[in-house]
Amino acid sequence: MAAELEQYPTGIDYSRQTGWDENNVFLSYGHGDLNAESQLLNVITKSWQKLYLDPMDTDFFNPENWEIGTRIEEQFLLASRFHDLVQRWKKETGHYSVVARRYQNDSYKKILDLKSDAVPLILEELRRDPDRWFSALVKLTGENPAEHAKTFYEAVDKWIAWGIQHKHLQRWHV
Amino acid sequence: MARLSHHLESLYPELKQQDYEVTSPKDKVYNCVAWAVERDTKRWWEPSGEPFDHWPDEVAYDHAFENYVKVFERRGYSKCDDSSLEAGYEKVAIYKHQDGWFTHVAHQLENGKWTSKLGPDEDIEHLTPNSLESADNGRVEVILKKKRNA
Repeated sequence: MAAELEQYPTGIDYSRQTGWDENNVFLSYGHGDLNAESQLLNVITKSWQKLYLDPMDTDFFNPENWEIGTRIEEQFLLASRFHDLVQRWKKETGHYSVVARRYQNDSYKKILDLKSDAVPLILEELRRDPDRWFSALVKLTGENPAEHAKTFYEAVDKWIAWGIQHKHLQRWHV
Repeated sequence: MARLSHHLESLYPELKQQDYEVTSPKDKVYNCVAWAVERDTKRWWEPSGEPFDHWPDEVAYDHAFENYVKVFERRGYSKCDDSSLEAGYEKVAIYKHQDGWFTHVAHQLENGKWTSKLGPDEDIEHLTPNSLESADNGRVEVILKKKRNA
């Protein structure tokens, strides 16, 4: 397992994660142009895929599908709440110079309150926009694949690899 | 000239009133302490518990404000009265929030301007330490100085 993690299975070259383009616009890996709505849409789409459903072919008036419909609704509400809290946390603390101070934020604490349900969402968010999620992930999973990481981006990669191995994330190529 | 995002400018109302210059792209890898201490752009200096973050061995591994002051005192800085430019000296201004947290440190350049790394965001040059006083950063609590190249 350790050997596989060391190969950076996400395939991301973090050594080239920042730069300026010809129009003097700053570019960085992870700063995707996804807005909150499209992030949510991604989560919803994944919830359908995870349940092997095609929304166009599913009759939710059929009582046999009510339970599945409820589960999808729960996932939607969870993802919606998560992304709302993430946006607030990043807006309120993303500029801090002390990471520990960011952990005092109410939105961050509410994300931890989501417990293990938050893990796949955090990993997806970590991959989209790398940030200081490591402490939360350790708390929520009881594991620490990045305990020997030498850099911030190595820790990101270790956790993404862990997420892929534990089926929280799909393999993704950039 | 590159400007900070509207969101960041809104966080530093004093800065918005003065001239400032963005001098680097955003970078999540290093923070203001790393930048002010030794222009370290490879590490985030904080006793965070993360294996990749750096904190000097000779300073207690704790977020107490005094420990951030000690980081500089152990490197030859001593407390002084004001942030004015003194020939032959370099100064740092250390900021403290009213809740007691260390929040920021800015470093004086030879031309009298100040350089700051803004959390995981850009480096900037600004005119005075007061430029970065704000509701989030609090106020400049301590000014330290040492002889240049000492």
